[in-house]
Amino acid sequence: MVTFRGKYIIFALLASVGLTGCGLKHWLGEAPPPTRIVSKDDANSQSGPGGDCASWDKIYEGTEEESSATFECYAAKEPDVWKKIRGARPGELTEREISLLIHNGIISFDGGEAGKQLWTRRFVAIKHLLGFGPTITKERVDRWISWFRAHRSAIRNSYKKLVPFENVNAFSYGDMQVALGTAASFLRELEWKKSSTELYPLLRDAFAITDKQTLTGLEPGVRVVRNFLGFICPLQSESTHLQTAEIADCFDNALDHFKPSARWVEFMINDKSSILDKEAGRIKASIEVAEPLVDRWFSQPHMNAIDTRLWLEFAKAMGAHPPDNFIDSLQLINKVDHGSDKYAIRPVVMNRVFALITQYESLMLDAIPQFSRAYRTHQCQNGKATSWKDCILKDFSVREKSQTIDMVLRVKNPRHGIEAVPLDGSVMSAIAFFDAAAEQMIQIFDENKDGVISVNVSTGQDEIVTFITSSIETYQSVDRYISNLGKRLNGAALDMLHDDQGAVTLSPQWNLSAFARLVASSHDVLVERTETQRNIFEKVLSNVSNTFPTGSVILDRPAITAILTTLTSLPHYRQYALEEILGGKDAAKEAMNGDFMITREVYRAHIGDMLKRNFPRTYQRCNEFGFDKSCFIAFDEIIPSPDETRKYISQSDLDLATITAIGMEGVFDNCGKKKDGTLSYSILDGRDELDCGFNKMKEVGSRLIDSGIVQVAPQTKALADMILNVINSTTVTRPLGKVALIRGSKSMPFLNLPLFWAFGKKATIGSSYGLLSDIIASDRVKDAKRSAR
Amino acid sequence: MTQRSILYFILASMGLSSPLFAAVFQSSTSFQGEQYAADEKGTSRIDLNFSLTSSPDAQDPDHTSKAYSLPARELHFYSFYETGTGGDHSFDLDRTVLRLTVANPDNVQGHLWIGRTHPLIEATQGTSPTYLDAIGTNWAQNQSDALNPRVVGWVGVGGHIEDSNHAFSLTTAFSPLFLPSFGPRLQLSENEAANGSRFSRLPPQYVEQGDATLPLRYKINTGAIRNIVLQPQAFVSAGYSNADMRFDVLDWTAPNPSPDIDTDFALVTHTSGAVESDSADVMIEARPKFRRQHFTGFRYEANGIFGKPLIAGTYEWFRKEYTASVQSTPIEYLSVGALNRWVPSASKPTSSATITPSLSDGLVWAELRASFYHDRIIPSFHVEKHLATANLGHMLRPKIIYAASSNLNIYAYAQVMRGQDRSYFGDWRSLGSAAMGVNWQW
Repeated sequence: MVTFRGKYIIFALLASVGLTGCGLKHWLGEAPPPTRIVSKDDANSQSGPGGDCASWDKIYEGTEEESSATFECYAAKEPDVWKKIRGARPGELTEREISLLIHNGIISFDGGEAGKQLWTRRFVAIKHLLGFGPTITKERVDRWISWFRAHRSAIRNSYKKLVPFENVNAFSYGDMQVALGTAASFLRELEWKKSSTELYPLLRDAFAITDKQTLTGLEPGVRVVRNFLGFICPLQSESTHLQTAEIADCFDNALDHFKPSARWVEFMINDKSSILDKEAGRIKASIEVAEPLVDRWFSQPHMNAIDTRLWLEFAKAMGAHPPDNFIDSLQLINKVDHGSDKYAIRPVVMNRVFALITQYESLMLDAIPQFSRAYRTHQCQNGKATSWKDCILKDFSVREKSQTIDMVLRVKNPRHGIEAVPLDGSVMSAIAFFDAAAEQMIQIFDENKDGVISVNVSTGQDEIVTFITSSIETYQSVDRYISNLGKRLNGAALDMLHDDQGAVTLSPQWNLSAFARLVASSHDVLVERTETQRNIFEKVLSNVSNTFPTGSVILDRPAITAILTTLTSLPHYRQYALEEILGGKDAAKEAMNGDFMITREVYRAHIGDMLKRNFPRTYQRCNEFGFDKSCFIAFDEIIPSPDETRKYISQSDLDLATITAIGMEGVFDNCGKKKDGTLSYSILDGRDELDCGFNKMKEVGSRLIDSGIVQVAPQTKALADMILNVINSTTVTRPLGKVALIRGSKSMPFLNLPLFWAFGKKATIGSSYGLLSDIIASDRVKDAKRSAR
Repeated sequence: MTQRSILYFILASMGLSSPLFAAVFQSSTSFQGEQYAADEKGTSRIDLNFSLTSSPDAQDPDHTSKAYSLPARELHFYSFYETGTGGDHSFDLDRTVLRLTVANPDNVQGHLWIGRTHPLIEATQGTSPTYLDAIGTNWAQNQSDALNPRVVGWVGVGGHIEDSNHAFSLTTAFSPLFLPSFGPRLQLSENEAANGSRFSRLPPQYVEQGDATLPLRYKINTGAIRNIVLQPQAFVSAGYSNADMRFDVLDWTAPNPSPDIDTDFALVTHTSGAVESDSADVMIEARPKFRRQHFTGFRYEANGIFGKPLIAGTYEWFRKEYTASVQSTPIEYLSVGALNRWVPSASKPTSSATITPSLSDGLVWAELRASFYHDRIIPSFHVEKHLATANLGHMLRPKIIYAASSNLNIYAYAQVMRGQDRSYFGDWRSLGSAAMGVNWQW
């Protein structure tokens, strides 16, 4: 029944059975398949982080419907999370369990074992900060979800208003009430009271702060925050503790308290492009309403003084390098409020601050409509202006409509520094602030109530100079601290801290105080006073001239404004000068840091470029006169060298060249009717222009030399005295000075007198630098003349 | 409800204390030694099967007609027991049925039945579906012997009628009790890793979460057993047959014998005791769902043409799945067949770790069987091979039986599986074995 072929098959089968029976284990048993593991991809495909919910950011970035739907989608998953993660007790997750989840890699983070440690501490810290206590409970999480549900819409609306790219509508007081009200509610929900010692480890771990310096500053920082909050809020808790509920109460109370001055608050926090004259009037009215409100608010009980030692300790801990005389300089606060001193600044000082702000905003409200109009009607010098802030005024005739703009044009000469300090809305805003500050300073320091203050520029010990320099230095320190703190909290690398970064410099030869004194000495060529201002100023001068000490100057409000403006402008001029000298923006920015040295040869080669960029009028007039015998020598000689061989100059000393150029142009603009960089015999205010110019140069020069700000060799000083004082002493000799000024040379003035009378030649900025060069380096002038021939 | 309690229930319901089953008794016992390639030690297996069959046949007491071949009473019991930790066992009272003639033999013939039987056996007068055809593969099976699954019947009542010429027939069955497929032993625990007999298909053992690979623990939540068991099943078929062929159209509804598993998971932390012993695992709560199915199918058997083809096909209405099979015996000692199921892509699982491979996924099979030396030596060679790309693998089973006497057989066989990871046979590829045993019938 089986075929022949079938038997072979059968045989084969039998053989296979036999072989398998002999135990061909290798053939019979392959390696088992790998154990089944549900991979990450499989797990995620079934239940991803958000599953079917939209991205988190939809909650605050999406439409109201998207926001609500996304939040509810996530919120609906919360009960499931408690089912998905089961600790020892239902609905609870202990720190030990959280630690287990992180250390076993179930919740994964970068950074290996150190990363696990860090995130464990971070979770625990955030848990405490959110008011969870030792265990995360479902009940507390549910409470937070309920809170978020109740405030989701407010958070979204506030986000939309506050994030710059979303900020299409102005942020109203109502919006602020919503945002701060939400913040207050959040603080109440936290419901904790912790000391700085308790907060230190929590903040350190929550923000994963590892930077040693930031850690050092963290605990003092908390104390500073508490001190500041107590300064602006009535807090009844211990001065070492932060209590979230009372801070929340402060927010709510402040919102109610300042509601009548809502328009002023809105003006402060919003873009001001839309402000025109009509609106400006309403805001001014609101400021008047705000004044008593501010007064009442900062007179409340349970508010504490600013403890300046705490702040100093904090700044030092953070490496913010506060000025050495920081605390001492604050002694001036006693003049603002007699109850305050350098260690404790009482909240009532805020009334003075408010006065400053009021003054500043009044000035702003006067000028903004002109800038807004120019921006809207495309009347800016820079066609690419994006708002009133960077709109550079093209038509200066608007000064007739705005006292603020008129004031700005009088303290900031628009003919130089066109790029470095363009007359745009931001610069106007800064100068307006300086002007408001000047007004406050006059009020504080003007004991005679005559509208001026006196500054001793010879010793560097003057309290006003100290105040100005300390204020600038403190501002720089705080600004740098805030910037560095932000960088540290964001984990970014910290810039090297330089004392002179982007600020008025502290070079080996000069310090800020010296600059302040130098600028103060030159004040009367920095400001172009109105006739009224000049009359008042000169009247005061005449009254005090007999008792006025040598080396002191009298400053009125415009002078102080001009000094502050000039001082804060110097770094901008310097940067543009460095661009010309070093050949690029990046190189210039780099050079601004630290004690960057330039060889004098390189500097000399770029004096013309530097002047052409920042002072085009000076450059032009010097070329007309002969650049090599005027500007070249003058700007070379006035820059000191830190080395005896005069091979190098410090980049920071370029500010001296800037001040010189500003001062010289100031003389010609103050004394010249045409303001074209020339002075003639034409009569201006009872004196001829040359008289005025020579006199101002003489006054400033004498003051600089007498006070020792500019140090010259004894021989040169004698020569300068002769020229500046002897020539100027009589009506007979004064024409000799004028001739010297016109000719740009101190030699043979008698021989040239007829030329002066016959041809009525004019002195120019160029000839003035020629004369200056001839006085301080006559040999070089002679060489230059010989070379020219 | 355990198998044992079900057995008692069925036996009691059939009145087994009466002498109804006293007619014919057949029994066989096997004892074999096995060596699995992966095991260090050999294991042994004992099979005990017996059947009670009445005689003469219930429908034809006088043996005047050969049309009816079903006995009036049947009881078949199958069991085996394997030693060793990977061994399995099964005790299964399968076909246990009482048939009663209800029609005049000269006109319309028919019978009613009560007990456990497959309705197709009643409809076709004894042809039982196998795990290799389209109907059997969709029916409940006893898969304890993983490489030889057996299609099992329903517990219930039914009726069958035929015309006087035995040409047209109509069969209907109803079962109030649902018994799902029984697979190899599998133990799932909330506290320990899943384990089972060697052929059990273990669920995933680990899950990747973050940077960790966590062990999986399983908790089975079946709900009330009565809600599973007390599910009605119904069957109806119509057939036509003549001397050369038989064609049946079938329609039945029953819960899916292989459940869909709904799962939920939870990360469980264990933090009692020392901190160093803290651990976590993932608890899977599995809820088997025996979703109802509704099949319509056909079966065509042509004995009168070459190859004696048997073709079957089914369509499941809810999942829209087609299953088809064909088998043929082109020559006396060779049988070949193919089986496939077409599953809509939407029904396929997405995770490779959770896919359970299916026997009916592109299967072809063949069996060589011969006998010689007066039927004393019976060699056979069985091969099953999956052709589907994701299920590539095969199983070979050479076997030889030596009939030493009319009661005693001596046999030997080997089983070899090969296949890719996660394929039907690939999961068992390390379970190759050789066995030798004796079988005694009396």
